[in-house]
Amino acid sequence: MVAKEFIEARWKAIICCLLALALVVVSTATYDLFKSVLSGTSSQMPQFLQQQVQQFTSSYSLYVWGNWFAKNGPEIMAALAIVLGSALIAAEVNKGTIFYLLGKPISRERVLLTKYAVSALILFAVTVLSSVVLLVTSALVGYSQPIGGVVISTLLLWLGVLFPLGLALMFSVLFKDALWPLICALTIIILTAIPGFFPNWGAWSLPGYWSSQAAYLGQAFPAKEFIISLIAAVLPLILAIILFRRQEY
Amino acid sequence: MSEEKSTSIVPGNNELRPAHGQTAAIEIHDLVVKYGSKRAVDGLTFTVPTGTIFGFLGPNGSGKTTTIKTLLGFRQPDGGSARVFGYDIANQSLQVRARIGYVNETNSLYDYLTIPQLCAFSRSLSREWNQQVVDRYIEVFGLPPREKVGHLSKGMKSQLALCLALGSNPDLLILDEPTTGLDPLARHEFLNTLVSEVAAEGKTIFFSSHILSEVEAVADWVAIIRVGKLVLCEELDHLKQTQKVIKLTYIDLPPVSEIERLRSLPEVMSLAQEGRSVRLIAHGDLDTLMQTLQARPYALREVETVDLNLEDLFMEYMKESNNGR
Amino acid sequence: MPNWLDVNPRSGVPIYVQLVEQIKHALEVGILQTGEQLPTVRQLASELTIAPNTIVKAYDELANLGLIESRQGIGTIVVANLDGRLHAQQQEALFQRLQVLVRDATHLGISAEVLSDRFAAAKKQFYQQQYEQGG
Repeated sequence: MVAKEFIEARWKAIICCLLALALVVVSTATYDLFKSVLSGTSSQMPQFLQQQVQQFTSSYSLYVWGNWFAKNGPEIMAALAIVLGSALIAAEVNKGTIFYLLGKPISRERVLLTKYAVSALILFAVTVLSSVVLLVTSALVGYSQPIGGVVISTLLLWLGVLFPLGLALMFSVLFKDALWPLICALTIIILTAIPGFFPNWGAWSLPGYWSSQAAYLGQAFPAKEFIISLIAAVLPLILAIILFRRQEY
Repeated sequence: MSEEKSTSIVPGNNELRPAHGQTAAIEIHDLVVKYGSKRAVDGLTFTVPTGTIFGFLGPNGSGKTTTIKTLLGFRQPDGGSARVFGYDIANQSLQVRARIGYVNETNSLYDYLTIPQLCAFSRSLSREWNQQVVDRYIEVFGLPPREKVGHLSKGMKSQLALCLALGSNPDLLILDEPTTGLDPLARHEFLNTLVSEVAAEGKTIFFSSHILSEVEAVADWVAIIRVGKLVLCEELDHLKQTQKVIKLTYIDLPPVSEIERLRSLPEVMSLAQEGRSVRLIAHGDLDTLMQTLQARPYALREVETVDLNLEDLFMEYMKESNNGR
Repeated sequence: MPNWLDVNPRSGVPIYVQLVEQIKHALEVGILQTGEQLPTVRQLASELTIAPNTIVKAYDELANLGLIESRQGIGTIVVANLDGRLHAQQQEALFQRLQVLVRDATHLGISAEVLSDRFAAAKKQFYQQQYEQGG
C-alpha cells in the first residue's frame, strides 16, 4: 500500500522539491548581490522597513535563516503539505477507487495513518534535502552554516508543516474532491499566519512557531516551538481519524 | 419429479467441493438503511445459501447497491442486522471483508498503476493472496499483463477487477452490476468464468443486476427488491415451476360470483377478465389448482397453462396491482 | 462436447428440466449410448454458461430415473438402456393426450359417431401404411 501512495504523489513531490531547492539556492547564493543592491537603494525606503532590512542583511546566517527557514521554507512546504493532504482521501472518492480500497479487509485507521505517514515522509525528505543543499551551497560560497542549528531548524520546520498536512487530510475526509479541502486548509493556514504581520501579535501566529532564529544561531533550544508544533500536528490527525471512521460512502 | 433440492452433490462426484460448514453465506434480517430521512432499505430479510449463484434483482434505485455497500461496511445499518458467514457486518466488518471478493460496476481501479503494481497493492491489503490464480485469469481473459490500468477498456477493467477479487481466495464474491458496459462477447466471457471457474469451486456468488437474461442463465436463486423491500426470494427453478399463467376460456360468460370465487383461491395471485376469457397468474400448488379448475361448475372450453420466464415474472411483481399477496 | 444440447435460459421451463428432457431424448434416439460418458458438471457449465448447480440437479434427476450413474474416478456414465421405460412413458403420455382430445371434442359439440368415424379413418390411413411397409 505504501508503494502505491508514493507512486500517486510522485509528481507533486518532485515538482515541489525542485522549487524548494531552487529557493534554497537563491537564498544561499544571493547574499552579497542582495546587499550591494540594497545599499544603493536603502535611503529610498520607509524607516521601519529600513530597520528590518538592516537586521536582515547584517549577517549571512540571518539572511539565510530569514529567507529560507522563516519565510520560503514554511511557505513552500506548507503548500506541499496541503496539496498532498487534500488529495489523500478526496481524490480516491472522486475517482471511485475508495470503494476498492475500503472493500479490502483493512481498517480505516490503517488506511488513514498509512496515507498520512507516506505524505509526512515525503515532506521530511524534501525538507531534509533542502537543508542538505543549503549546507552545501552556503559552504560553497564561503559562509558555512552551523550544522546543529540547521538540523534543529529542519526538524522544527517539518514538525510545523505537519499541521497543514493534518488539516488538509481532515478536510479531505469531508469532501468528494481535492479542491475544497485545499481551499479550506489554505484559508485556515493563512488566517493563522495573519497575526504575524502585526508587530505585537507575533506570538499568536502559528507559522511563527515553525522556525526559531535563536535555535538556528545555536543560542537556545526551541522547546516551546516544538511542543506547540507537536500538538498542532497531532490534533487535526486525530480529528481526521474520528471523522473518517464515521464517514459513510 | 424431485423438488426442493437446493445444492446437492451427486454421490461420487468429487468435482464440487463439499458445501461450506455454514449453510448461509449471507443472512440479512430486517435491515434498514437510511439516507437522511429516506429509507433506501426498508426491513429487508433474506438468506443467501452457500455455494449458490444468487441473483439480486430490482429496478434502479430499489436499494440493491445500498444493501451491498452496507454488507461491505461502507455504510452502517440504521436498523436490523446482517451476517456474512456468521460474522456481523456492523461489528466484525474486517472478518467479513476478509472472506469476500468485491467487484463493483464503476470498476474504478487506479489508472496510474500498471497491472503488476495493482496486484502488489492488492496483495498488501489482503490476508491471503495467490498471484498464480490472478495471472491465470488474466490470461484467460486475454489481458495485456504489463499494461497500465488506465489504458484498459471498460470491459477489460471489469475483467481485471474479477481477477483481483479472486486473488484473495474469497469464499463469497459480491458483484454489483458487474457486466455494465461490457460488449456481449466480454459479458459472455465474464459470466462463463464465473460459472465454470468460480462457482465450480464451490464459492458463493452474489450479484446484483438489472439484466434479467444473464441472471436467468446463471442464477440458482433470485431475490427481487423493490423500494427497499423484498418482493421474493426463491430458487429460480422452483419459481418457474410454481408460477404460471393460466388462461381459461369459458363456454358461457361466467357470472361475477364465479370470478370472485376464482380470485379467492389461495393459489391465484392475480386475475384479469375479458368476457369469457380469464387470465390468472397462479402460484404454489398448481396441481391442486388445476383440479379445482377442472371441477368448475361453469363449463370451460379450454384451460391453457403458459410458462413464465424471469422477465415475465419480474414484470408481474413490479406491477402495483397485485392482490397484495 | 455435446452439440445436440441446446438450452434456452429465457424459457419458462427451468433449465435443468430442459437438460433432463434433452438427455432423455438423446438416449431415446440413440445419440447417447449405454456406457458413454457425459460431460463433467464443470465442462457443461463452461460450455453452456449456466450454473453448475443446475447441471448437478439435472444429473441428480437422471440418476433418480436410473438413466445415468456417477462412478468414482470415471465420471458420469449412461447406464443400461431404458428404451422400454421411456417407451412406456411415451405411450402413457399419448393416451393422456387422447383423453384430452376426446374431452375437447365433447366441448366442441362433436358427436361420438363423428368422432369414431374420424378415428377409424385415421387408423385406416396410418396402420394401413404400416401393413404395406411389411409390418
